[in-house]
Amino acid sequence: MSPRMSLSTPMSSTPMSSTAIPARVRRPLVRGALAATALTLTSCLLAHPSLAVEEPEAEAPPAAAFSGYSSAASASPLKIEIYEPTIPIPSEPQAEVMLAYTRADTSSGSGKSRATWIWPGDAIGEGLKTFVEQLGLPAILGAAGYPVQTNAEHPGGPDHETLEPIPGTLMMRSTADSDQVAGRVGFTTDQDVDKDDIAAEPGGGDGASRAGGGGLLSGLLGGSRSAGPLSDPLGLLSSVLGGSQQGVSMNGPLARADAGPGAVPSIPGIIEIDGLTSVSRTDTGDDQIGTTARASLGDISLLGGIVELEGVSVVSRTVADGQEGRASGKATIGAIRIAGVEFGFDENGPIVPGGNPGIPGLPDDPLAALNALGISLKMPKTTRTVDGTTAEVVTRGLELTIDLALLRPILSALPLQQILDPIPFPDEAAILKSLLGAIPGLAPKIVVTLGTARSKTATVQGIDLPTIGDPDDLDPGSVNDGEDPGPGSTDPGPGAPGDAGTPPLDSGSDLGGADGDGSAPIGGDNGTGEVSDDLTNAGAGLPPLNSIPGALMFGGLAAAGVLGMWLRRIGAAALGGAGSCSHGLDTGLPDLRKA
Amino acid sequence: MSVPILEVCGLRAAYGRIEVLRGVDLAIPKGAVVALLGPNGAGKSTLLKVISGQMAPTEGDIHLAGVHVHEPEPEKLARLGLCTIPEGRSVFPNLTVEENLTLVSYAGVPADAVLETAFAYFPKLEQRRKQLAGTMSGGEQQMLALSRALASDPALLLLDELSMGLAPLIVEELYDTVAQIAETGVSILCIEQFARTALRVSDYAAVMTGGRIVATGEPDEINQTMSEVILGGAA
Repeated sequence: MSPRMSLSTPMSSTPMSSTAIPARVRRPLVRGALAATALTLTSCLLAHPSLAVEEPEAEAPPAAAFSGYSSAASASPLKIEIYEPTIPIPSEPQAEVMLAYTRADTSSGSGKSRATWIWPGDAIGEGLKTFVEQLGLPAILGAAGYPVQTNAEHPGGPDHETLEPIPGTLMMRSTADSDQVAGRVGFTTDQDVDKDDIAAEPGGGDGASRAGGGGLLSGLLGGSRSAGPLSDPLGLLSSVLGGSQQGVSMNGPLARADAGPGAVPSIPGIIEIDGLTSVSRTDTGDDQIGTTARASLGDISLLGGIVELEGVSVVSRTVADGQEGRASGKATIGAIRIAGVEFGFDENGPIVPGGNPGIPGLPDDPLAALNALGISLKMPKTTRTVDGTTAEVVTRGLELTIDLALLRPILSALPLQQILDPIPFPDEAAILKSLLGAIPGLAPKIVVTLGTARSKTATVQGIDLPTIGDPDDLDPGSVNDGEDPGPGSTDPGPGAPGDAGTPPLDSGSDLGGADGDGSAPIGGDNGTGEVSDDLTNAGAGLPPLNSIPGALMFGGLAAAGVLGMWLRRIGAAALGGAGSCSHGLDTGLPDLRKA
Repeated sequence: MSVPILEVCGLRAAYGRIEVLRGVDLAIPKGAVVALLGPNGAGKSTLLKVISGQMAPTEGDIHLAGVHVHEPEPEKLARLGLCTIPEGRSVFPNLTVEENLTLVSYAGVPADAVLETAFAYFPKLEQRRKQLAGTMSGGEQQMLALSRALASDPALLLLDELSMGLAPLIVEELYDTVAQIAETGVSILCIEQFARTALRVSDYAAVMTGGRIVATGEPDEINQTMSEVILGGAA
């Protein structure tokens, strides 16, 4: 019989039973009560396996590497931000567009992903309904939210969504299940945006569940999950790949196929792109969480061909396993040409191998030449942060800033008011008229980021709560004696005269002191048939000793908190009259009626 | 020049990551009526919330009568004479007019004085003193809200969209009362989306858009130069 059951025996003896019933009659009653208690407990334990005492020979399940986690990944190969305060959108930047935007967020068992080929920023994407209402447009336009996106959520569902407005070329997929949460967008010819995952990950993946098992396979699996056809093997050559697929360094040429990928929307004169892909993914393994954000795009032509780039790829990957976090990120750019002159590129800007040939009509320094046009280029540094089991990487590719303040004189010269005045705007469109009227004041700054990928993974260990013994497990005698009621003290063993401990149940036939073997009667019966009231009371309600230091500590912290709060108030009251703000004024609350 | 009764310097405030106030600078001279105009979503009501202590700013200073106020509690400001009439009136619909007014006496003003003040400004309320506030018209409810504020003897009155949902005739009547209140020396910050009426009774005006004050001046200047561009003809 287990020790747990034997400890239930004190419950069967009460002061009333010991005083009201003669000892000779009481002993068989006690034995009967013990047997009944044991039977009841046994049946309970059999009926409720969760209550069963753990078998010593049973093998404990392997401890989880972590008890909770969270991750966030987002990627976009092309992000355009417009900073223009006259645009009445309450966000900074005032307008933004991200092409092939994906994100995946997980949190301890739940996850959601999003994929969209064009995302107008959270302010509009999440709040389209409000914008439609504010602009006086028909409410039906924004009733269903932003339409060009797929979302998946686990466990709430849907577990996958696919949108392919241009079948075979443009695809958006969101998936979410217990093992993987991913958003994928691609403008490719084969609908496979996962194929360069292995190459993109350092070391070809680290074995974190599916990611480590084979990115290509998982890509195919991801593709087969949706309605799209399986990939064409030749598509692997013809699709636009990030530079990292060939292991190209930052200044090296990017290997890519001549065949162009699918049609990609472009902004003529500012930016034209050959193809792009984006994947944000979190793989949830038993022993680690891996989060990858990757964005790739092919040839890019900026500003009507003034700046040309051959492929940009950014990858951010974080892994956390409950013990440590690891972060890696890489931005890869192929060749870059400015005004037809090929440059290398590092974090300080363009580098001209073999000297600076200069650009006719512009300053010799290429950056200065671009600055003269209101354009600046820079290569942001990859930021890695690892703090214990939290890892975060933000990788960005080339950042192009176009300052259009030069346009202001031109816009101011427009006879806009004369054009707008005759137009009979309805009252509902008053805000539209106001916006159009503000055009002469425009001086936007446009920031184009080629490739952004952010990945963050965090795991936490469970809190090791102190185990407070089951009241049934407490040895009344030990507590009363002020000893540690540890497991070893629960069974003092038979034969200890006068010991208030409990004998094992399997010695039930020897219970009581009638057999004269020195066994202590249950409940501290001293052999005279009297049960100690002190022992019975002590066993019922006193807390275990090991909770007292904790209570003292938390009590002390609470007292210190209250004391600190009052000290702060007293200090503020004492210094309130003397304190002053940055404008040199006193701080306080004036009576306005007497001012 | 006397110290303004209210001055905000570089005030910023945000709802989460969306910044609504982006460095507001505004001063209200003592005893003046200032109209704060601007389109919907400009941040006017948020500014009022921050000034009245209902929302914490992220940056910037608020000075009341030349004293820097740091993280004020709304109820303390109300006791010191800063009274707010929020958008939507906020009267107790299931209480009578008299009960609504009597509630103000908990702030320390005797109930008789409260009723006397309210009925002096709005005689119509005396006729309806036993009527449930929720059954009155919007204009009458606004009168009740205004009279309730006046009964607390304010020194600085913040009015948020007094004209919301009211007929133009009622709005004119209410703003006449605002002008009367101003004559007693109460400083008033009057937030309005529809400018013409507010400009009629104001001493100064400011135009707010995109979380900033973009123009300040006397009502005539504001009316002439900014109405078409900023207010989109809504004035």
